Amino acid sequence: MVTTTLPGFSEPVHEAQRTFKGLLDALSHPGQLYSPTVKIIPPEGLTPICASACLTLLDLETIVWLQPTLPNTVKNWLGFHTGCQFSEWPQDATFAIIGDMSSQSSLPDLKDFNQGSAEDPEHSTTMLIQVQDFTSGIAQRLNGPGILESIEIAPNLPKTFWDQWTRNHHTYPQGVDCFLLSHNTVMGLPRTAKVLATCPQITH
Amino acid sequence: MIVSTDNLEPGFNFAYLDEQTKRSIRRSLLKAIAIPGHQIPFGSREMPMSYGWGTGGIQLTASIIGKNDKLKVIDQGADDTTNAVNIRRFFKKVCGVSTTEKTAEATIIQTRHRIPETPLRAGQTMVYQVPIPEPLRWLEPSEVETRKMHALSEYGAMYVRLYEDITQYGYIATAYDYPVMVNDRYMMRPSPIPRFDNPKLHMSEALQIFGAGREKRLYALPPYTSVKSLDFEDYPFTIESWGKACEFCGATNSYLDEVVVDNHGGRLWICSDTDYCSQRQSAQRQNAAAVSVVNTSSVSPEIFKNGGNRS
Amino acid sequence: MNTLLDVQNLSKAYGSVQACDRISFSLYPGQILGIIGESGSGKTTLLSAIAHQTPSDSGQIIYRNSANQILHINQISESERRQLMRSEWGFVRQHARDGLRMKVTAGANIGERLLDIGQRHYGRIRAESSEWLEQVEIPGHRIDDLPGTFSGGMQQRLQLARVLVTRPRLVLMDEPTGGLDVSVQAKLLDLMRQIVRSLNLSVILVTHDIGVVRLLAHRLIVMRHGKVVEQGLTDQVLDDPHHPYTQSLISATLVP
Repeated sequence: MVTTTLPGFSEPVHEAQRTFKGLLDALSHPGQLYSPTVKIIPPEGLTPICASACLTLLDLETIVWLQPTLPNTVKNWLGFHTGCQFSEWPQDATFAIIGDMSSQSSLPDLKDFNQGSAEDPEHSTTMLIQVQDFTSGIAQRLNGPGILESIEIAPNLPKTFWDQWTRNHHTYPQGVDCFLLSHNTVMGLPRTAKVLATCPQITH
Repeated sequence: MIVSTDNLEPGFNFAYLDEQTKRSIRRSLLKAIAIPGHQIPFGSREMPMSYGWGTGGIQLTASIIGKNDKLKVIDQGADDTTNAVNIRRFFKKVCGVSTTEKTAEATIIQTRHRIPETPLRAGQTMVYQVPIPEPLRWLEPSEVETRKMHALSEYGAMYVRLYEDITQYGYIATAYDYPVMVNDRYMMRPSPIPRFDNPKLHMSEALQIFGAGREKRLYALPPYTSVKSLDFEDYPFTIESWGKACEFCGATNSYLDEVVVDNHGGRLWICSDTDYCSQRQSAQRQNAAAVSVVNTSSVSPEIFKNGGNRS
Repeated sequence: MNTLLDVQNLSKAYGSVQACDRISFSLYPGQILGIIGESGSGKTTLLSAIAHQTPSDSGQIIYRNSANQILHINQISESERRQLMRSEWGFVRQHARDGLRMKVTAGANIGERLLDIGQRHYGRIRAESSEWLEQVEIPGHRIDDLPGTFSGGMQQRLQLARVLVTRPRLVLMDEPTGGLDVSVQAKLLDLMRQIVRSLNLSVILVTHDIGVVRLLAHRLIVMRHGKVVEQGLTDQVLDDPHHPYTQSLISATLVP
């Protein structure tokens, strides 16, 4: 069994707190970007901020679903540093880590993950989705709690994601929540964030 | 501003809670933000103070606070009551964080029984201490049943209670902890703040989180969330008014505490929010000083050109 | 005409006791069906199973709602079922205390179902409660009284008003006149007959009292040990019973 030699946080207490503050702000202000400063060497397959989010949120009480295209380095590193459990069943997952949204074949629909129940909607899966950038995707206009009026965002995500996201929103209070993570930056999409419209593409 | 951690009590993890507990509470907080107004159980820990002293709020603050935060703690609007002083002292001891009495300078404000008059800004977090989180507990002692009622949006019974108030008193009599509907979905207790403060919950720029230590529940209001106090179309929600001004700062739109001053029924009204009142008082003193500077400084000849009027 | 409710092969056992054994019947709009039998016959279990307060072991309960949709009561979600019980269905219980909020005024008891379906105008809710008090012949000035101050018969009439305020299409009644004085019963039955007819309600009425079914029910099912032993039009069954058990039931009735 290959174990990892890469370290986790160098200052666990404070880096976890800073990362958490970034995630908290991101989910409280959907569509806005946050880059909590943390120095970390992530395992191959995870961006620095995704790795930080994992160290902050995962532990032996959490069950993680890993996209099959993620390299083994990710599983080893997570297992070693967080003690989290793993499952192949999206239904079981408290957290799901998606390395790359473009390889659609290895990706279940959002509705295949744990949606929570009517009495305990909080049991649903939290998606940690790595994205290339926040500017080159199909622009969407969002509103909902945390957003004053509306906000326009364009994270690099396929159209199928937004179709699934609209369906996810309609199952409120059940449904999954997402963190979109680029290299160093996070954007939160709580299940309350509603797509108002796909914005017309501006061609130059 | 990083405060020295030299005075930290040895033997405690930063902010007292161990990292495992913080992680667990942090995960619950994220879900709470995604489902505004919905109560989420959390693994409440034994804290070095009894229930009723804000253990729920303290655990939430402990889970979010960082070295660079600035903490304000109030109890019934004041920074200097026993409860507020103890909590502030606790956090100074276990994380060395800097504290303040000025609402505008705080990044985290922990409160019992009031919301500050100074409007909260984006980037601030309010932490409320909650004794009883469940708005339907008066009707239904069973947690299983109330959870089902929330799941099915069965809130008719709460309106029955309001109907009875109107029947008995001619108005909705609830003065504190007035129930609200959050995001048009969940009914929530805002904690024992006066109804006067309810409008401040709605569309706040700040994040608001609520912790009940004894009941082990937390819930949250993200910024810019709809929070409506329950009422009837023909009996709309109203807030208290005193028709009086604060004795110290003259404010007519803040929550006033009534203070008895002598044995002959003499009373004063003063702002419950001590920071708000003192900010107003010092602004007034500054204005008064500026005016008197103008009045007593040497007068330039130009003034006489205009007919010699000095004002 | 389409049936309002179809019960098909409904069965429910408690351990080795078969409380309901493949019960089937249909109910049309505006019909009152009486289910009669002694205690232990399974009639109360049947009612409870139809309302899905006790889940049945097997069988179908098929209801046609006001939007003309077919609902399988044992398959819809709990949310839909509870919603149905607050709007299109009503349940009048044997003991008024089980069907009322005893700590809440008469007006609030009646208004609650209106509040449940989202009405938010105090004046209008109070006015509707007053109307219903009149309909069930409770003096209007008692609107702010607690049910504990009402007589047994009046409590039962209040329960009726509480259930009828949302104009349900189907009302289930479990011994609605049980425990009341004979004269009070008679008054209540008269009222019920009047209201049921004027609102064109469908009713399933469970009782051990032959007098009640004779007065109210169009059709009758006789149950014994979980099975239907006889059924038909009320007058036919009561005047010309075929099954020996039915005969013994009728002959045991004291003629007032």
